[in-house]
Amino acid sequence: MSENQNPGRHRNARRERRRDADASLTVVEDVNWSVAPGEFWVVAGQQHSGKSDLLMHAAGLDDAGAGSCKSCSAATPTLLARRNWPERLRVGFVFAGGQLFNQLTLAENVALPLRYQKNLTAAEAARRCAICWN
Amino acid sequence: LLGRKTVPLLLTVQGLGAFALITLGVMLKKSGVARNVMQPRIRQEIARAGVALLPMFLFVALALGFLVVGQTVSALAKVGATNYLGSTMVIVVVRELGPLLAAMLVLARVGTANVIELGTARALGEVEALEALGIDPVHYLIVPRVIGMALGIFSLTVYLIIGALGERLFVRVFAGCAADAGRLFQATRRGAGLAGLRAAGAQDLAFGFFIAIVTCYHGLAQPLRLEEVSRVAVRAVTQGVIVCVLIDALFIVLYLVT
Repeated sequence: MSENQNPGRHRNARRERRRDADASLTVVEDVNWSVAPGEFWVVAGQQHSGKSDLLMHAAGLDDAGAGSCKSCSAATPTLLARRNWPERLRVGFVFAGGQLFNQLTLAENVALPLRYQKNLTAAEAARRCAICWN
Repeated sequence: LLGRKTVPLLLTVQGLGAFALITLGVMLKKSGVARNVMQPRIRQEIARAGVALLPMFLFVALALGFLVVGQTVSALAKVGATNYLGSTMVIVVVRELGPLLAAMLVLARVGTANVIELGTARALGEVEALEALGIDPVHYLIVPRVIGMALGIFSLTVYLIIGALGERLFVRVFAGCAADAGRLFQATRRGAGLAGLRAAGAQDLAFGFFIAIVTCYHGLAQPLRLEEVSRVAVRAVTQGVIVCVLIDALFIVLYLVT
């Protein structure tokens, strides 16, 4: 999955848009998307057609304005509760701009989620990541 | 006109309160989560808000000792009121000037940097990136800063007070007035008391916690554009000063009541 170059700005703009949005406008409806291991998908559409909204919802990074959304066969909780939602970790999301943390090296950026989720030391994470580099 | 000023103020107070509660909740709930990642970050923040500011604080402590303590000792000696030396020292340096000065300096040096760092991170989408990686931004970005600032201000206040009073003791001993130095030390110790020192410690921790909350709230809790970061930094520092004065006033009331 991919996002635009500056998701922070994009998200702010989307929130501003949402405030003025037409409540009757449905962006995403009746989408049933299954991605099997090894499959490669491309989501295409016109500008403002809802591609980013679809991807953000699929990754559990945004709340639906109305209606419901299920991910990994489970109803997605609210955005705040989703931080502790185990299913959330089953979906990876790569921003087009990388969104790397400037204060970390590339290897540390790659290792960060692994270290945080598995409580690894820097040396352990570096060893695991080294397997990927090689 | 009154509502136009009052409503945003109330909304800010509500937002700050909610943010403080969320941060406290995350601190308690996730205290054992990702220790190998969080402990180095907490140490880094303590170094930034405490150890790195030590040279500046030693300079300020010497200036405080020279200006305030020296002037007070000299003025009280002139009117023969040296009996009030201990309580005056405690009120001026230990209770009031020490903690407040430490809080203001940390707000200026570290609080401003906090708002700019977090505001820029927010504007560049780093918070969304953390969420995408399954990392709680409050736990990863805010908790280390809150702990670092609270412990940093606490430690720096202790050094500031020791430096300010120690400088006068050193001057007295160096000038051959060891008896005066001993009297000053005893008077300060008597005036402070254990309860007073505990209250001063609690005040320092409260300063650190709320400065971190105010600066992190403005940097992180609201969507920002890059061009808004400087304006938000000014607002956060202003509100940080107001919060420090309010906490100080609250502790004065507590001192008077108890």
